[in-house]
This record gives sequence, structure tokens and C-alpha cells, in this order.
Amino acid sequence: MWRYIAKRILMLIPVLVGVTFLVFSLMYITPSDPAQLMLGANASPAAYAQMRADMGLDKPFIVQYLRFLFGYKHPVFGYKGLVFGDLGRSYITNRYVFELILSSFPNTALLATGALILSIALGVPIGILSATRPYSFIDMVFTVLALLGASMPTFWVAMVFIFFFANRLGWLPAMSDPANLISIILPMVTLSLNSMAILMRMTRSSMLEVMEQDYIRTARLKGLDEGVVIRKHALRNALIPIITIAGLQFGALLSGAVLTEKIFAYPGIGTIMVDAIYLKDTPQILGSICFVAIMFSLVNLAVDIMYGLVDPRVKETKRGPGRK
Amino acid sequence: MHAFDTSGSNLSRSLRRIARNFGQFWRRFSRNKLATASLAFVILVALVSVFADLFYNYDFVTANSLENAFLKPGESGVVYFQDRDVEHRFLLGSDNYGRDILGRIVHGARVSLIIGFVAVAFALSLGGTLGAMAGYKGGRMDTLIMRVTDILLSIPMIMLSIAIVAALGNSFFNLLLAISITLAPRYIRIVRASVITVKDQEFVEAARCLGASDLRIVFRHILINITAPIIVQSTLNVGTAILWTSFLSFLGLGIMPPKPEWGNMLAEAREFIQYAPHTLFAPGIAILLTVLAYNLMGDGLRDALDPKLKR
Repeated sequence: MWRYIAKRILMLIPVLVGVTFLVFSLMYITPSDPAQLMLGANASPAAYAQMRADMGLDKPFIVQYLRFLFGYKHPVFGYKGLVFGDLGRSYITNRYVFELILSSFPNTALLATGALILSIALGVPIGILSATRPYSFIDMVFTVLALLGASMPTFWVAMVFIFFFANRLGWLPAMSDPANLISIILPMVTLSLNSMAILMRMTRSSMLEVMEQDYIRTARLKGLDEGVVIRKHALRNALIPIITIAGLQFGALLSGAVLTEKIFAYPGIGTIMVDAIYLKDTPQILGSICFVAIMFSLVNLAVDIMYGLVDPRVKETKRGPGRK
Repeated sequence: MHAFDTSGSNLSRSLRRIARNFGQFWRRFSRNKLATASLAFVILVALVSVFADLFYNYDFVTANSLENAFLKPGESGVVYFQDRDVEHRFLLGSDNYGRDILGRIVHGARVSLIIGFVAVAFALSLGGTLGAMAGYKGGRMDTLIMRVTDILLSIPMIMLSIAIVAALGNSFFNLLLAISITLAPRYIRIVRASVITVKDQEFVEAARCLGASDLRIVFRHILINITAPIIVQSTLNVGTAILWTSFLSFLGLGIMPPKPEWGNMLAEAREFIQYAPHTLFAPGIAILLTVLAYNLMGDGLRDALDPKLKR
């Protein structure tokens, strides 16, 4: 088991290097010019060349990438590098990007955790209910609802919620702020819909699969109460894939928060990223995308390891079910 | 089939076989009422987007006529268009620039469908080729391709497409590229897995002994076995691509106004939610119904094409 965990952690390193490399390359080929951005359009060619040299933009690609990872010494533009938890400063606000990310990430995590809890609390019981009455009216209703949940554009649902609950009914505020818990309800519900639908479907199919097993028939033939059969025999076995999907959904929720946060003006990492893209603030775009990607990989790794701990049948070669 | 048996009788026999297979497929598919209805809706949207110009003139739906701004659904207004005043009825109302919302939805369908289909086709050919190479050749090629796939999959999908468009700048082509690259890893995985399971079976060896080239083996003998999961995956992905297109355009990273696109219509509607809710509902419902139809159709196809996966 320990070997499995150590191996999974080691395998993560090349992936993380690859992710940062990919995102860095994308930012490198961006048509916008940071030196121009700093100086404005009317700078003299000499000042422009000096600025490029100061920012380290005149160096070859690979040098710039290594500096991004391991730091760059310069009195104004220097930073310690990604590996040491320093992503440099924003071109626009001059704030340290990593500090900004660390101060906003707890807000995103709060939103994603709340949404995850909500989608498990509703999605799993409804899935079980559907599985115990397959093809009944109630199952059909929830199947259609789940498909609706998976097909709805989240950003539109967010706006429709704002229209009904904030503008028309006035029950909840349209702007969201982590200090005011009431105001998080709308973004949390919006964000949870998609995961709830996926969990509902997964629970249903996983339960249906287990309910067809021989040991369920045996349990029923022993004369056990149907409730006991479902709770003790079926659900326990059906839970393993459900836990995995729930864990993977947490990663999806972290990135899904990007769209929801922006609409509710919620100060999370998604808002930081989108704002940085509008302002072409390269260090902030680079930092926030890399940070979310690293978090996403770590969460998925944790889920894989937990999966291995919960289900002893998982051998080194076998991987969890594919990500969405 | 070999080159020498393309005589007429054989041709008609294989045509009959295709017809019989299709008949079987159709009987299974049409049993699912929701999927059949979705297919009808998908065809309707496709026809509407192909013949969009018959319903609404493109210049008409992109031109401002501020005196008609925020008309309620069904109201009429006088539009100055092509050097004369035209009386026009706005079936779904008008937006903040007095443009016809239904007309913009109709022309927006064209953009969404083109991006949906082309992006999926591109992702399929890119992912399919790479997946087949990885699975068939194995060794270093496999390791390299799969490492890159793992990396692509470790960036949340929607963020990857945001990053690509943000880096390359927003244009129709870059949007297409971003969505295709994000979708491609799914096909790499599917195709590679199936190539690996099939490639050591006897019929592949037999084909190789007969002197078939690698390319022929992969296309004629291996990929033919996975058309069903690929068709299902592609149908679902068209829905995903339409959703992402609208999302990226909503963020201002895709199709920009005044070009009509469902996502950018919603971005414009956002500022007037309280004042003119009709500008918010129609484009959103268009996205919802179209994506839902592709999802339902994908589910129906899965049940019909793959009888092993009974519901």
C-alpha cells in the first residue's frame, strides 16, 4: 500500500512540471507585450529595450521558464519562483500574486466544499431512491431532472437565480461575499447543480448494478427486511465508486467556481483569473491557472489514494474510473 | 472486402445488409421516445441554422435600431433597414440595441453548430490518430503521448480552453482550436484502450499475414470495432462544445458582439436582468434545449448501438 502511495506521489511530479510548462508556453506565445503594457504606447525604443531586459523578456524561452520555476533576481521585477511559493507581482496592481491567490483561495474552497456537501446530501439519497424504484414515475422525473442539471449552462442558471431570488422575490442578495453566509447560498446552489446531477446518476447506476448481484438475492431470500438489504448489503458496496466520483467532483467544482464566482462578484480565485485575463496581467493569469491545476491534481491524487485505502482490490496497476 | 469482389450483386448485398443493420438500430433507438424527440429537435436546429438567411437577414439582426430597444415579445416596431422603413414584429422581443432576439438566436444556432461539429471532428481526428499511434506502436511513442494526455487532463477542462483562448486571442478559429484540444484527450484514451485490447487478437494477425499495412489494419480492422462508443462520445461532445462556446463567448473570450452568439447575447442581457428579463430567458433556453437534446440523443444512441449496456 505504501509503495502504491509513494508511486502515485512520484508520478505526480512530471505531470505538475508538464502542467506548468504548458501554461507557461501558452502565456509566452500571447500576442500581448508586458513591456509595452508597463510603459504605455509612447515609450522610446531605448526605454522599451531597457524594460524588456529588466523584466527578463529578452532571454530565451527556456531561461524564462526556469526563472518562473526557480526565481529571478532583480531589484524591481525579481521573485523567488513557483517552487518557493513566489509567483512575482501583478503588472497592474503590483501586489504579490501568490499572496492574492492565497487570500482568495479559501473563499473558493468554501464555495466548492459547500456545493459538494449539498450535491452529496441531495444527489446520493435521490439516486438511491431512483435505484430502488427503477423505471417508476419518480425515477423518470429525477432522470430528466438530472439530465437537465447536466445540460444547463451554469452561468445562465446563475443569472436566472439572481433574477428570481434577488430581483423579484428579494430573498437573497445578488452579490455574494464570504463574510455574509446568507449571500453564499445562491452561488453554492448554482455550483452544486451539475455535480448533483452527476452524483444522482452515478448512485443510481452503481446501486442498480449491486442490486442485481447474487448476494442481494441471498439476503432477500434469508428473509431480511428490504430496508436492511438496501442499507447494509447494497449501499455499502455501491458506495465505493460513489465516493470516488464525489472526490473527483470536488476538483471539478474548484474549476467550475470560475464561472459562478464572476457572476456573483464573489472574491474567489476564478474572479482573480478572469479579471487578470481581461487586463492581460500575465503573472496573475499564469499564477491562478497553475494554482488551480495543481490543486486539482492534488485533490485527484488524494481521491485515488483514498480509493486504494477503501477498496483493497485496487492494485498498483488499476486506476480509478476515468475523470469526467 | 477484397478488391475483386465489387461486382453488382455484392454491392446490392452489402447495401441490403446496411439497410438491415440500420433497421435493427432504428427499431431499438425509436423505442426511446425521449431520444427520438431529441433527434427531431437536433434536425430542426440543424435545418434552422442552415437556412437561417431565409428567416432573418444577417445584416438585419446585427444592425442597431436604438428606438426599438427592449421591445417585449410580440411587439412591433418600425426599423430603418436598407434605406427604408420596415414594419417588423419582434416575436421574442428586442435587445438593448433594438435587435431582434429570435433572429439573433437563429443566426447564433449556426455559429454554435458549426463550432460544435467542427471542434468535435477535429478533436476526433487528432485524438483518434494519436490514440491509435500510442496503442498500436506502444513503447516510447505510447509513453510520450500518454504523458501529454495526462498533463492535458490535469488542467480542469474549462480552464484549459480559457487559457488557450486567452493566450491566442479571441477569434473564431482560436475558439475552435481551444475546444478541440480540450476534447481530444478523451478520444486518445478511448481509441488507445480499444486498439490495445484488439491488436493482439488473431484476426489482426491474420490481416498482417495477408500483407495488410499498419494503416489498413488500424482503420479497417481495429477502429471499425469502436465506431459505436465513438459515435456516442461524439454526440455528447457536440453538446459540450456548444456549452463551452457559449460560456467562452459569455466571458468575452469567444464570438464578440455584434455577431450573434448565444453566450454573448447572455453577456449583454446580464446588465439588464431586472429591466428586461426576456433578453435573458430566450438565449439561455436555446442553449439548454440544444445541449439537452444532444445529451438525450447520446444516451439513446448508447442504448441502441450497444445492447450489452442495457439500462
